[in-house]
Amino acid sequence: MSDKYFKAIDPNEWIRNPQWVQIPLDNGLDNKMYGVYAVFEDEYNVASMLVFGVSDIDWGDGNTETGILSPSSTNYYNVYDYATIPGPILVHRNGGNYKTVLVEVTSDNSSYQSYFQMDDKPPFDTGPSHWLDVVFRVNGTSTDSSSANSYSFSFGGGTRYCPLLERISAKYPISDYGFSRGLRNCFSLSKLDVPSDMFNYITVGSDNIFTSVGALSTARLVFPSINNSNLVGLFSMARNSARCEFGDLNLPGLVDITSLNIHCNLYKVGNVTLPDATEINYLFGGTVGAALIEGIGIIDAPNATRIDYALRGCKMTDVEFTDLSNCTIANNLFGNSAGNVKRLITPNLTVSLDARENNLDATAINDWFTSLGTAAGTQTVNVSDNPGSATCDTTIATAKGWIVIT
Amino acid sequence: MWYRFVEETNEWNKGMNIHLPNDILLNSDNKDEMIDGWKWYDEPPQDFLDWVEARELEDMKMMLKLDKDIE
Repeated sequence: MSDKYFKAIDPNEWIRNPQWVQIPLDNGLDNKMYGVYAVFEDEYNVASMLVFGVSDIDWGDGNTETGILSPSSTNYYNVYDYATIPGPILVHRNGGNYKTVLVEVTSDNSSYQSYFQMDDKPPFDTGPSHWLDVVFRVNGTSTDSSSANSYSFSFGGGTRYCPLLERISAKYPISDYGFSRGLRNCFSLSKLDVPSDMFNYITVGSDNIFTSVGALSTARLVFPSINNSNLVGLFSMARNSARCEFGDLNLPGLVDITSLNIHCNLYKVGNVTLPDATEINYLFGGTVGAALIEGIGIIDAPNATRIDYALRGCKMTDVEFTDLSNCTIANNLFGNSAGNVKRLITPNLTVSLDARENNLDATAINDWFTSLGTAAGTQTVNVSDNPGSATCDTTIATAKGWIVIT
Repeated sequence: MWYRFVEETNEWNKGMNIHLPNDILLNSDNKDEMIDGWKWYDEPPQDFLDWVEARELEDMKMMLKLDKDIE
C-alpha cells in the first residue's frame, strides 16, 4: 500500500503547535526578530529583553517601543493582560491556559551589531521568560561583532531562563560575540533551524553554553557540527543536556577541556577533534547513573596526556581514538562502571587501560591489542569479563610487552 | 584472585588469569607462587579495598569540583 495514505509521525521530529500565532513568511527583506510569547492565565506576564542595535519593538498587544537609539544596551519590557489578548486559549503541557502574541523587533545593525538577550530580568519579576518560538531574520552577513550587519543572542545569560522555548530559527550564523550561557536551561528546546555554521564563530565569555538544553524537549534536538577555534578556555559545554544530537566537534585551541559534556543522557556526538587538548579526563563523564550515549565518533586528540574517566559510565558500543601515543594516564577511561563497548581502538597507547566488563568478543579484543603500541614498562590491559576474554589471542599484546588480564 | 600493587602509578591490578610478556600464565594452578609482584589472595587484601575506596572518593570529589566550577 502506498505510504501516501499513511504517514507515521516521527517522534524525533518537532511539530510546531498550529494554534500558535503565525510568524510572517520570509520576504527576503526582513531585518527582524520574531518571537512567539506565551501569556498565561492568572500569571504576571512580562516579556523582557536587553537589546542593542535595534530600532523598534512591537510587543504584539498594541504596545510598541519606537525610535530606540543604537547602540544603547537597554532593558525593554512589556506587561501583558491575558484578558485582552485575542486568539485561542491553549493548554500548555504544564497545565496552564495561555494565549500567544507575536513580538517583532526591528534590527538596526547598519552601524553596529544587533544583540538580543531574551531572558533579561524585568523590574519586580524573576519568573521564567515564556518565549515559545523565536525566529532571527536579522542581517548577519558579517560574523564580526565589531562590525555592522552582525548579530548575536542569548537565552540563558540572564536570570530568568527560557524553559518553554521550543524552537530557534536563524537565517544567518551568530557573530563572535560572547555566547555566555547562550542556550542555558532551554529545557524544552526541540528544534534548531539554523545554518550549518551557526556556532562556528561564537566566543566563550563563560561556560555552560548549552547546559540543560533538551532536558524536557518534545523531540530530538539536533545541533549542527561546530568548527570553532574561539572556544579557548571552554570548560563545560552541554552539561545535563538530553535527547541531543551533536554533529562533529572540531575545537582547536582547547587545551584543558575537562568535562565537556558531563551528566548528559540519551545523546549522540559526531567525530570529536581536539588537536591541542592535553587533558580530556571526564570529557564525557556521566555521574548520575550511566550516561546513555548512543555513540561518539572518532576521538582525535593526539596530544592528550590524560583520558582517564573520559567515558566514565558511558554506555556506548564503539570507542575509537586516532592516536594516543602521548597519553600517560588512561587506566580508568570508563571509570568504575561496567561498559557496553563492542569495539575499542586505541592506536599507539603505551600505558595501562582497564576494559573489563565490556562486550568485546575475541575478534574485537584482538583488534584492540593490534592497535596498541609497545608497553611503556610494566603496563596492563584488562579484558576480563568480556565475551572474548577466554578465546582472544593474548600473544598479540604480550609480544609488545603488555601484561594481559583475562 | 591475583593482585599486584604498582608503586609507580599507585594502582592495583587484579585478575584471575594473568598473561605475562615472558609467556608465563598466572592462574589458580600456580597460586602459591609470587611472580613479578603478583600475589594470590582468596579474599581481597585490605590495602586493595582501601585503595578502591580512596579512588571512589577521589572520583566523587572530582565530580563535585566540576559541578561547583561550572555553576
